[in-house]
Amino acid sequence: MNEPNSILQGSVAHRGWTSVIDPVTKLLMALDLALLSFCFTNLLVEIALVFVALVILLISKAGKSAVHAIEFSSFLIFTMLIIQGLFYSHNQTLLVSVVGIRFYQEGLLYAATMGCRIFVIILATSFFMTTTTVSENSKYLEQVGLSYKAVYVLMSVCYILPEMMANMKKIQMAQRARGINQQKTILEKIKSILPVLVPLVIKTLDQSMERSIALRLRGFNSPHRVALKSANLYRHEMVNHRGLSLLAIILIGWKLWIIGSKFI
Amino acid sequence: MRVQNIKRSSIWKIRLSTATMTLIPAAVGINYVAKAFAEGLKLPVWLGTLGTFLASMLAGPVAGAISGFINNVIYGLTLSPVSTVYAITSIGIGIAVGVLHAKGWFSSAKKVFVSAIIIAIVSAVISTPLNVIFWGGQTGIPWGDSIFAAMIANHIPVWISSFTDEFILDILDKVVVAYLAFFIYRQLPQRMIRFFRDDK
Amino acid sequence: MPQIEISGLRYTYPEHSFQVEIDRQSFDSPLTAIVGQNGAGKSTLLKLLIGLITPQEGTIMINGVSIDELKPQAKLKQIGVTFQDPDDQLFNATVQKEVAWGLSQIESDQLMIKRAADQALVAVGLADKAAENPYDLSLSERKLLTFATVLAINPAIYLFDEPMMSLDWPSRKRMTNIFHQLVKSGHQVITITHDMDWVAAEFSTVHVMAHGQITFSGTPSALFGNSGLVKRVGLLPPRIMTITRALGDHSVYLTPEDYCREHKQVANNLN
Repeated sequence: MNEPNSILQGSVAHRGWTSVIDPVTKLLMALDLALLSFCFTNLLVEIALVFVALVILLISKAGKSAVHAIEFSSFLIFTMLIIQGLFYSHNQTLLVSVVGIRFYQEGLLYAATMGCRIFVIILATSFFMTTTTVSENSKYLEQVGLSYKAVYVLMSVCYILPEMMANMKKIQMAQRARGINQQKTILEKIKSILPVLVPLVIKTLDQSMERSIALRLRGFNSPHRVALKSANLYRHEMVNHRGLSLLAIILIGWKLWIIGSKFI
Repeated sequence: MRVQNIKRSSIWKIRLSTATMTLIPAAVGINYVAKAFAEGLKLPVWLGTLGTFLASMLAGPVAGAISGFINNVIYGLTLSPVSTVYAITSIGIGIAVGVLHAKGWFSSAKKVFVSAIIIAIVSAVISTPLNVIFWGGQTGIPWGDSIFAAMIANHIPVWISSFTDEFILDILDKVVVAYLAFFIYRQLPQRMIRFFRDDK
Repeated sequence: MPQIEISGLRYTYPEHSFQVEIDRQSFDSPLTAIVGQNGAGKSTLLKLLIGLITPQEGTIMINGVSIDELKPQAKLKQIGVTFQDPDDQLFNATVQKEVAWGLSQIESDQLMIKRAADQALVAVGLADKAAENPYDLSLSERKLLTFATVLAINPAIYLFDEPMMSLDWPSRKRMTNIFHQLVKSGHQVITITHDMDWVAAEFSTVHVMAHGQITFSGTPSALFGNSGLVKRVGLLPPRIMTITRALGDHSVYLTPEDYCREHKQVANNLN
């Protein structure tokens, strides 16, 4: 959640190609890729989509968070392959048999297709994650008409977390000094959470109350408040938004058509 | 602070007051910290909805639902993209907790247990289709998934197996979270409860 | 008199290069203040003294026993601590339970726990608030409550981090009295503080920390008499000395009363 202020530095000409695409376009791109992967059930198409998402991610020189997210999901995808390969209800064609354990083609294909979809979603979202910053997103969202209150809420989440983590460290220290030790049983562990969570929640809510009063005093609720207009740094915003939204609608319609036609 | 005649407003207030606006980020933060705690202590529960529970109890179902929604969106856009879709589950949990709390179902230890079961059902009903669409029915928790695997190995339909997997995990999680929220809420000073409840 | 002995101590933070290094130091005076600028290492020393962090080198002995050999419960009996912000520790439903909780970590006799908790609450003047929610108390009262949680345990050594911060005036006087009573009954009190007026008026020994080391140990008058050192380690002398210095008087006065006493003598001599 660090904030390289790329947006404040230099003109469009000096910035990379990823920064002339606005955040909403990036999000819509991720959405469209995800929807595409859901419209097809062919593994080869899925692999192609993974490849496309991967290429976009690689040429934008971003990949760190993708690695993390993939790690996060790969174990689950692995167990999916095993469970579906063994027990998928449409399993018919035996693929391999390892020491009497039989893996079937249908289940493995089904799981592999779903695994690819997950990868498409992760990679496409990672492109958004690594090429935008919190402040860029919030500024842009306010520009395109999201209420400033919603933007404030989204922004504060990013600032509140480091503050809470610091508070938690201090509280844990204080309680350890009072004699809380590592607990053994699950019930003891859950009980040992309270001496830390209660002060933390109260401190966090106290700070929320202070912020709320400060906001009110500063006239945040005033109907006359106007949003700050900033220079536009993006290209072809409207075309991108409309085009990608249209694509999303078509894809959803298509998928619904396919599902619907099964029942007719 | 403003002087106003105290009249309990509807629990369904939609307009965001400054109090709710600052409560939501706090709730998301509490979700995050509680989840980190559960992972750190290697507990078999997630605890990642504690803040949503508290927001619903303090400021009503709408505040809780928004907290839950934003929580998953932010979690999805920073850590695990697929969890974004479970924002729908979080909205359901926020609404369920808010309504149950307003109807007095968080007033005693016994009632909390009933509430926890209802919330677990809501959560599992919404999560199961998502689990089936994205993960073929799995939840990603190894021991829950081994139950799932055992069930489909015995030709029990995917939907029932997946619901069982999700519900068993949910009931454990929601009972623990509901009791934690119950104890923490009881400990909150009255001025805090009044502040978030009465603010419009 | 309980005693803390430090030898060959070295602690480096894993995440940055800040280091606390104390070659040989004993804390054996009844009322000790540790002073120094922010970031001098005072809080780190405090954490080391109660065993919250473990030094890479060296030992800390409390009454002849190494701190890492003390069992958790024995440690709580030897050394009690309160932190700056009372809200970092309060979590029980009532004031009474908050005080009893700490004690119940080392004691199982319910009657004894109750008696000790009640006594501690009387000592800090919170007896009439025993049934209240700690977070309904004022900040000053919450701070007093954290003292009560330690007083109930009655450890040999008391460690306070900024005890006077956020206390109102009557509570300050109450706490100063409690400190003196503790000293009289053979306890040792060590406090970290930025309040030089208080240090000058009440303490017998001062340790100055700078850059992770103890650069001075001695009496307040020895410290504030050395104006070069005071300046170098970034401290302010007591307010009375700021005034007398400005008036061209370079003697050491720890309190306004000191100054008056001195000058009455001067006046008498003139007669």
